Amino acid sequence: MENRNAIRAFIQKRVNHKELSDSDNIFKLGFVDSMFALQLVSFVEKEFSVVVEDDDLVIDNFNSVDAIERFVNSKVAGSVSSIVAE
Amino acid sequence: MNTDRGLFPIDLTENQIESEKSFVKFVEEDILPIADKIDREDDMPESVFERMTELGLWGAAIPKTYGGMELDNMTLGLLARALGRGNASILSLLIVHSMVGSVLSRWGTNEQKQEWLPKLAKGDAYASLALTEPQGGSDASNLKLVVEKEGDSFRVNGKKTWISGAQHSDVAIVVGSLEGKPTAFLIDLNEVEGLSRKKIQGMVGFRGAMLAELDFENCLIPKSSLIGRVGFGFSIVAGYALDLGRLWVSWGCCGISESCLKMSVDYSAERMSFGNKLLDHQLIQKMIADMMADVTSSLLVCYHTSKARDENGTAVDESAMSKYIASTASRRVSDNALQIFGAAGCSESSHIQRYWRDAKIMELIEGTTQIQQILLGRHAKRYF
Repeated sequence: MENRNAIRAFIQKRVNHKELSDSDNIFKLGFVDSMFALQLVSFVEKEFSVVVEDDDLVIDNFNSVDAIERFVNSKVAGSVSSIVAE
Repeated sequence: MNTDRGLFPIDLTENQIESEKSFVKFVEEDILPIADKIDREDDMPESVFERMTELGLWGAAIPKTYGGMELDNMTLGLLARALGRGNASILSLLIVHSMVGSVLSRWGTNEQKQEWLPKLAKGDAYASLALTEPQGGSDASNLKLVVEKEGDSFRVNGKKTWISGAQHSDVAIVVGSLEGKPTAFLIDLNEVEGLSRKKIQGMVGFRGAMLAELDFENCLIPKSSLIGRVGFGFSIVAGYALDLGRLWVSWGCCGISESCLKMSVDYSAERMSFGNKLLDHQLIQKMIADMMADVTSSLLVCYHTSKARDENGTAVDESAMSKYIASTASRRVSDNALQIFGAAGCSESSHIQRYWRDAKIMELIEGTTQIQQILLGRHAKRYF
């Protein structure tokens, strides 16, 4: 839930606090500009200490609060399993 | 030229101060003596490339793992500032080269990194960034350069223009439309068949930036040329490059502005008019005060943007703000300098007229002033 709140707060600030549900596609709604994706990637990396790889650059990973949370959780789980594997 | 930091000194580490001294030494000894000649001849002598290779400057923004210097954003800014004082064309060539190096380090595949980064770091290969097209600049949704899948390759058709360094660059990041989406590709310009380059000269400024048009006619490139993923060519790949490029341009503008200010203060303190020194006339004092205000605000915003980028990895809004402030400032400052110098500043033997012409170009590259204004205006509610 904490991750979701942080993601929601980041996006809300960048869509000028427009009404937005967690499943709304922020790209399709036209709420963000071309530089937003870069800011979103930087936010995800810094906030959740994960690395976004070029393979992760898929629009479905970033198009809503729900999608970003799923992506972050999968990356965090991936990091934990690689540490355990080591 | 010195490394003074103006009325409000900026905090630098010992390493950053030492680095800046070496950049200034390079500019004073190797660039300023030939800066106007480069401008007049509209070409960059090979000796400049060689000297920059000796100093490792081509690898300034490339990780040490690949043989680069991996300078922090503050030190990169100081380098751009020194080059801005020297010759904006050299700065421009280094900016595009470094943007490509930086993008590859972050978003390139392992194969692309291994093949190109060591060469780019050593100056064994030069890079360009090809975004602008004859029909449009920052309008990513209307790219006319089309890329189509063809078996295990891509077919490229279209033109890129006003591309810095493209007269001689070995590799370029080219953004085109694949499946209707802006997508980035790394293209080996020496290997690709069907590419023609057209030299562009006689620009108002940046004479020596080796501009060219790249015309891709039925060019086949390997599938491994893709950078990032389909649809992210502008927002991520070019966006990442522009974030760095705008910061560098801003620092370069500081260099131009500081040189114009210093030269104007020195000149007006000596030049006599109506029995007084120029600097004793209140209308001149007003111009000098305006120039000081522009130089000071430019330096401070660049300093904070470099800090933000060092802390956060990117600084999209901060870079746009620095570009907006510093480039419009350098146009005003150089204009005031030209006014103070009069005919002496308009002569081809004066750096001032070159700074004035180059400052205008600074307002156009890496997104025009209007693009920065749109971006900042849209994002205003985030901060105020």
